[in-house]
Amino acid sequence: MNTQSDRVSVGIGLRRGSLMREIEATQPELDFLEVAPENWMRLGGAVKRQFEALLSRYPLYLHGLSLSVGGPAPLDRDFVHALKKFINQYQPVIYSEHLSFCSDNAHLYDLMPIPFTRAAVRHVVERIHAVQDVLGQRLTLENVSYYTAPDAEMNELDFLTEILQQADCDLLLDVNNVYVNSVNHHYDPKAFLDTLPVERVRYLHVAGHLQLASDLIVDTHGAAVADPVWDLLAHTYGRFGAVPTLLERDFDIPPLADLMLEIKKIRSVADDALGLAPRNDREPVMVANA
Amino acid sequence: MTTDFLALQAQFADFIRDPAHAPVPKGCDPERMQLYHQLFFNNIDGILENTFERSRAHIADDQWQELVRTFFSTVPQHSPYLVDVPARFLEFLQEQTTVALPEPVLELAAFEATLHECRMAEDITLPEATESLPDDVFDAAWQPHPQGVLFESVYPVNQADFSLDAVPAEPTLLWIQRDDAGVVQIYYLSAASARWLVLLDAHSGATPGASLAQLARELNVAPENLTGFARAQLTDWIADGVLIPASGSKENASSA
Repeated sequence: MNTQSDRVSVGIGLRRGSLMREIEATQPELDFLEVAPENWMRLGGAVKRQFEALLSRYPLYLHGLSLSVGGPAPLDRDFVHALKKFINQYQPVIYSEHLSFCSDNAHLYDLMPIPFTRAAVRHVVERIHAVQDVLGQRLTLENVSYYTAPDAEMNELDFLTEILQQADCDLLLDVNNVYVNSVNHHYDPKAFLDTLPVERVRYLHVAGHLQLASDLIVDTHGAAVADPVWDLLAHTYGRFGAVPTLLERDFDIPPLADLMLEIKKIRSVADDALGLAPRNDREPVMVANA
Repeated sequence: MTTDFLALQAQFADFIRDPAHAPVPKGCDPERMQLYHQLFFNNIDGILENTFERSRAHIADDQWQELVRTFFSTVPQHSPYLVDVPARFLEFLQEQTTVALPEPVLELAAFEATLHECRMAEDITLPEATESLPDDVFDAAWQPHPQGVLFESVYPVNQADFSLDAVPAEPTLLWIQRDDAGVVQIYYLSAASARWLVLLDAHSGATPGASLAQLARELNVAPENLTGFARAQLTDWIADGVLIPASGSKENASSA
């Protein structure tokens, strides 16, 4: 029988500015907060104290941007060690990154798709091992959205699953990215989900996007979650269970109350998919310690 | 046969940086590669527009586009931290010769970059005073806060409506520092105050008398004529956190 503990944990990304002030002021019923370590590792002053105060209330998830785990240049070991220090200091529940590259010999500060080749698989696996050795923990890597990809020897799904298996790492399954890629590259998103290894899915992301054409969606994180993604999220919970889920919103961020409506919907979709009784809105949501 | 993946990655990044001169990576859709370029460019342009909002307003749109595109395509970014990009852009603005920028715009950009740096600065461990502070501010050693910045400009760049055409008779001297609430504070300095801050830093560890004596010599006035000014200035700076107790003050306090 499903119980309260089977319910999904849901969080949002913490961003400096009005959203952070609203979270501080209202202490919303969130199960965790996620931050990009690169934006918080060199914090100082009042904002650092505010960040640490929030961590006494909410567990922390980290989602990195600049590791460039698929990059062609040697790993930035100084950066990995700085990450380790930050992880050790704040003890996040999860540190995740992107299965992509964001730099060649210099940073471009956004995500590029790694060519889907067997040599690239070997290259990425070796780098994941190197990072895991320094951090002393398994990496959780996100399937990224992409709009076009260079010459490939394998498809996205085989590339992803090969790396998960060979590197023995976990998957941050971005459900919006599955949908975006399924439209951009013409595949069945549910079949994609149904082929992923259940045991490796440790964390979920959902987000809004921008549809530019019938076969082109941009992963903007700048809108509410779209209906097809809600449907895919329900399918995801049905297959993978109550995996912790982040609502991503990076641009055109609405008032917190609007985000909380989407948080409520994530919980509702999960409860329905998992066969749990509807929640009593007045029931306090327990927040575990980090 | 599939091209070497490292070569494909290099092609991908090259095209994003400079689509006018780089070939489309093998197998990629040209229009969608243009989309990649635009998304990446917009990301960098966005942080620069935000950081340099005031100087940007003095630069024509086509010139700004040329500056950011040249910066984006030619200046390698080696920091994994996006917040470091504005400092690199300021260096680029000061060195580039493609777009002729008026001197006051460059000084305004430097001022905005300094505000950004102060806002984003990491915490540092401040030196600990080795003794309890005496009642008289002249009996303790002080040093400027290590995260404060002495900023000098020909133009009053901190004023929102300063004229780019008129060169003021006096330079603008500012002390810029993030306060305990996280707000970047800007303090006006007279030429004498600014010089004394520099001397206090040089004499860090000594009580203020030594630096004040040097200031008096430089101004060709008797030290006692500066005492009133100095006491008021010290009191304000200490209250604002511009000055903090110097480390090692006990050993060096006798130099006053």
